[in-house]
Amino acid sequence: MSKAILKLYTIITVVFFLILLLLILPPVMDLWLVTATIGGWPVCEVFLIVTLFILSAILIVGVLLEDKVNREENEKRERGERIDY
Amino acid sequence: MKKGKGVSGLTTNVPIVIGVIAAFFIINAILIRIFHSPQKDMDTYTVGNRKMPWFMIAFGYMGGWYVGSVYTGFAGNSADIGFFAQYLAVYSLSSLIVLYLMARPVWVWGKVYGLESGPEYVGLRYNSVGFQKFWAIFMILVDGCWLIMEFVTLGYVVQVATNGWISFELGIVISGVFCGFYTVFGGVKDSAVASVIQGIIFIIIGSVVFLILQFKTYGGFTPLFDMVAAHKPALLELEGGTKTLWITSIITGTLGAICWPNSFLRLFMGSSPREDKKSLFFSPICAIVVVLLILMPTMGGRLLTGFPEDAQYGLFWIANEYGGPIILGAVAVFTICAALTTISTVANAISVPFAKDIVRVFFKKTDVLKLAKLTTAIVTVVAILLGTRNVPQLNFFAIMLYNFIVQAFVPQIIGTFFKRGNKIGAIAGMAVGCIVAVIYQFWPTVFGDLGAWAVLLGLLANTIVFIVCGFVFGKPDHVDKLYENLRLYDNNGKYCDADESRGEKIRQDWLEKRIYS
Repeated sequence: MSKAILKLYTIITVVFFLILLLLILPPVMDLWLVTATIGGWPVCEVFLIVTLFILSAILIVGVLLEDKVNREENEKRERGERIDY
Repeated sequence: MKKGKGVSGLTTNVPIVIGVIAAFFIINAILIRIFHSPQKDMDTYTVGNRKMPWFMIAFGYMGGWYVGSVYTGFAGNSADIGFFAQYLAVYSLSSLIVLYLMARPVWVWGKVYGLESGPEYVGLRYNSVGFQKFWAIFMILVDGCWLIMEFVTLGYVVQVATNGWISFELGIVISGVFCGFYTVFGGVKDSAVASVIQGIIFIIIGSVVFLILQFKTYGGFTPLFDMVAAHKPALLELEGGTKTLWITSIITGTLGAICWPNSFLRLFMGSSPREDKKSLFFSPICAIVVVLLILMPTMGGRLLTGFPEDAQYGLFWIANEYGGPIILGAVAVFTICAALTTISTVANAISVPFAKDIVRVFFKKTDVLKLAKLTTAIVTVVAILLGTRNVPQLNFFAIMLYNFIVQAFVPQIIGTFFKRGNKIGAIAGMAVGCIVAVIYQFWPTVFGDLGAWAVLLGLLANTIVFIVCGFVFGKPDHVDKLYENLRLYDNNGKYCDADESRGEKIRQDWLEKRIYS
C-alpha cells in the first residue's frame, strides 16, 4: 500500500479512536452519565446516539477519501509517474 | 440458558405463531433455491469466486455478527441492567474501523495468493504451515462453542414462542437441518443469499416492527424514559463494576470482532476491496438502529405488570402482550433469522479450514471440495446434537472463549501492518495472552482489584511480546515480497502490473510450492 493510503488510514484511525474515547474514558463518561434530559431523552442516550453517528460518518468519509486517493494514484500510473510506497 | 419449564401460556394463539414461523421457512427455502448455483470448485464454495456485491458482504457480515441471543440475553440485560446492554451497539459499530483497515490487504493477498480462510491468511503472513493448522484448530474451538450456543437459542425461542407445542429439541433439529442443508450444498453463496433474505427480515422489517412495538407498549421513547427515570433510574446509570465492564467489553469487542472466522472470511468475498468497504455505508447505521430498537422495549420491562421473571424471554412476552400472536411470531422469526445467519456463516468459516488443514492430512486422495462439504455437514450435525443436550457449562465456555478470540487481534491485525512481526512473536504472544486469559477465567483473584481489566492485560502482554520479538528476531525474509505484491491490485480490484502474467505466476508458485515470488 502506498504512503498516501497508509497516511489516510492513520488519520482516520486516530480520529475514530479519539471520538470513541469519549464513550469509554472514565472522566469523560462522568460528564454524560447524568440524570438530566434533552427533549425528554436522557443525556446518556443522546450522547451515545450522536457519538455513534459521528463514528459512522468518519467511516464513510474514510471510504470516500480512499476512493479519491485511489483515483489520483491511477492517474499517476497512467501518466507514468512514480507512486511513493 | 434455561430450557424452558414455565414457558406455557405465553400466547393464546399458537397456530398463528407456528404459521408465521412456517411461512418464513417456506419463503426462505424457495428464495434460496431460486438463487442457488452449482458449487463447482473450492473458490466458489469458500469465497464465492471473490465476486460478491457489497450488499451480500454487508448482510453476511451483519448476519454473522448479530446472534440470536441479542433477542434473548441482551434484551434480558436491558431489562435488568438498562443502558449497559447498549455496549453492543457501540462495539458493533466501532469494530468496523478494523474492517476498514483490513479490507484492502486481506482482499489483495486473498486474490494474489488464492487464500480461502483466516488460517491460510496467517499461514501466508508468517510462512508457517504449523501456525496455519494451529489457527484452524483454535478457530473451530472458539467459534464452535458459539455455533452450539446459537442452536440452543433457536430451540429455546421456538419452544417459548409456541408455548412448548414445538419442543426445544425439535426446534433445534428443524432449524438445524434447514440451515445445514443450504450451508453444506450451497457453500458461501447460498449462505450469503440466505443472509440477505434473513438480514432484510430481521434488520429492515424487524426495525419497523420494533418501532411499532415501542409505541404500542410505552407510547414512544420519551414515555419509556420518563417511566424509567421515575421508578428505576439506576437503569440509566453505569456504576462501579458495570462501568469497568462497559469499557473493557467495548475495547475487546472493537478489536476482536473482525477476528471471528466468519467475519474475517467476508473480506475475501467482495469483487474488490472497495466492494467490501461499501458495506460501511450501511452497517454502522444498522448497528445504531437495529440494536437500540431491539433493546429499548425491554428496558422498561420490569415496570410492566406480568413481565416474566426470566427476562430472557421478556421481549417475546412484550411482543405477545402488546402486539399479539402475529407480532410474537414475527419476533420469533427475527430471532431465528439472526441465529440462522450466524450458524450458516460460522459453519462455513470453521469447517472449510478444518477440512483443508487438518482432515485432509488423513484423506489426501479425497477431492477437497467433497471433503469440505462433508466436514461442514459433520460440524453442523455435531453442533445440533450438542445443542439438544444443552450442556450447562456452555455459556461459561463461550464467554471465556471470547477472551481468547481477542488475542487473535495481535498476529492477525497488528501483524498485517507491523512488518517486523514474525512467527516466533506471533506464537509467543498468543501463548502469553491465552495464559493470562485462562488464569483470569479460573483464578480471577490472582489479579486482585484489576477485575475485568485483566483481559486487556493479556492483550497488552501479547502485543508487547509480539513487538519485542519483532525487533529481537527481525523481519522475516519473505515479508518484503509479500508487501510488494499488495501493489498488484488497486482499491477497485483492478490489476495494476505491466506484466499481465505475473499475478497468476505468484498464485501458482504459492499454491503449488508455497514459494513467495
